[in-house]
Amino acid sequence: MKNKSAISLALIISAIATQTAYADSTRHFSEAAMHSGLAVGHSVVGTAKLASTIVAVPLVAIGSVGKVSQDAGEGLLDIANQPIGDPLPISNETVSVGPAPSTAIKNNDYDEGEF
Amino acid sequence: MNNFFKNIAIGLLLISTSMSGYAASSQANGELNFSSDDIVTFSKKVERSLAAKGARVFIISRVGRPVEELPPGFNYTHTGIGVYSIITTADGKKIPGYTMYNLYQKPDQPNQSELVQDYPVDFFSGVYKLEAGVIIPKPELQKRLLQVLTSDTYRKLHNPKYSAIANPFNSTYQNCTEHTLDVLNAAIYETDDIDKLKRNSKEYFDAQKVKVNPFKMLIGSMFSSDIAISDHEEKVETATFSTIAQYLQKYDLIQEQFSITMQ
Repeated sequence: MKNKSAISLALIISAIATQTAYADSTRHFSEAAMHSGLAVGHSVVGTAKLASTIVAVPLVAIGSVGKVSQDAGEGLLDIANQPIGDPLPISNETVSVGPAPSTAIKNNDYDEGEF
Repeated sequence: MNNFFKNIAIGLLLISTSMSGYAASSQANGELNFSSDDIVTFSKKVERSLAAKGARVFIISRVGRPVEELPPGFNYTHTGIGVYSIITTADGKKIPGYTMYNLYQKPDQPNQSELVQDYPVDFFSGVYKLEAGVIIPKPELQKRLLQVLTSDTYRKLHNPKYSAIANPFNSTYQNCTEHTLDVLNAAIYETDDIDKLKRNSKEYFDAQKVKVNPFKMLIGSMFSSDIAISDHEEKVETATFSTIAQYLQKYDLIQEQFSITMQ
């Protein structure tokens, strides 16, 4: 009986508290990336390939935001100079930041005694 | 009476267990509601839809929880900013795509946040529904947003003290939508003066009233470290994706607004 009361109280307050869930500003990592072989940097899940990334910088005309676009190749620099609103190319590749360090450290895709 | 307190104690223990389980459902690396293939396909659809419209910068939101769990007026649970970028992959390739600029809660400290850049597939991993709310600002605002995002102002506007229902009119706490609003206003007014930005928000921005029973709100703030009510006065209100859209619409700063679904 005591336990029933406690459980009821928990369920009531938990239901109330649940309704105060307003936001979901939590970070997610793609499941595919979680399973990726990090040494290789790619993962195949079903038909989806994910590429891991090093860095990303806004692709915009030099001058408007400094030198951030200097890393672009010539083709991409042409795109950077297009007026806003003109259609843009998107790579067929899918990129991901990869798993969190806490997950990566549990990754067993290495040989025993590799260290 | 002793039994009463004992029941309360057991109840609270069960609550903390159930609530941490609930929180875990939306934490990093949690269970997915969709297959990886679906998330990749949807993410690529979002990218292609925005690229076809030539969007360099846009505001984007996701549905991370069942809408029926959210208070009236809340349609999305997380908002960030997408930026057309050159992405360098681990094997040295430079590819065009979108990067997401986010304010995320720290996984181990939900009442603290950090600024994180990720990609559409990361952004939509773990969503409850494959739907994105999108606002493409007018070109001039896109240009100014780029200036802010690539300057120190972007980080200067970040307040790591997180509350899911942060008051957008002061700097006590901040959530993802408030940070997005601050970034937008920094771009519009070309200033990083946070006091000035808050004054302008108070004058021109209409926040979403949080229509929840005050008792429920109090209980929520007692048991969830990421819900604070101390920054509010009489009424509790916060910034949302929808109120940001209304604000930009009211002042003619939107090029286009729409949602993207899997269909």
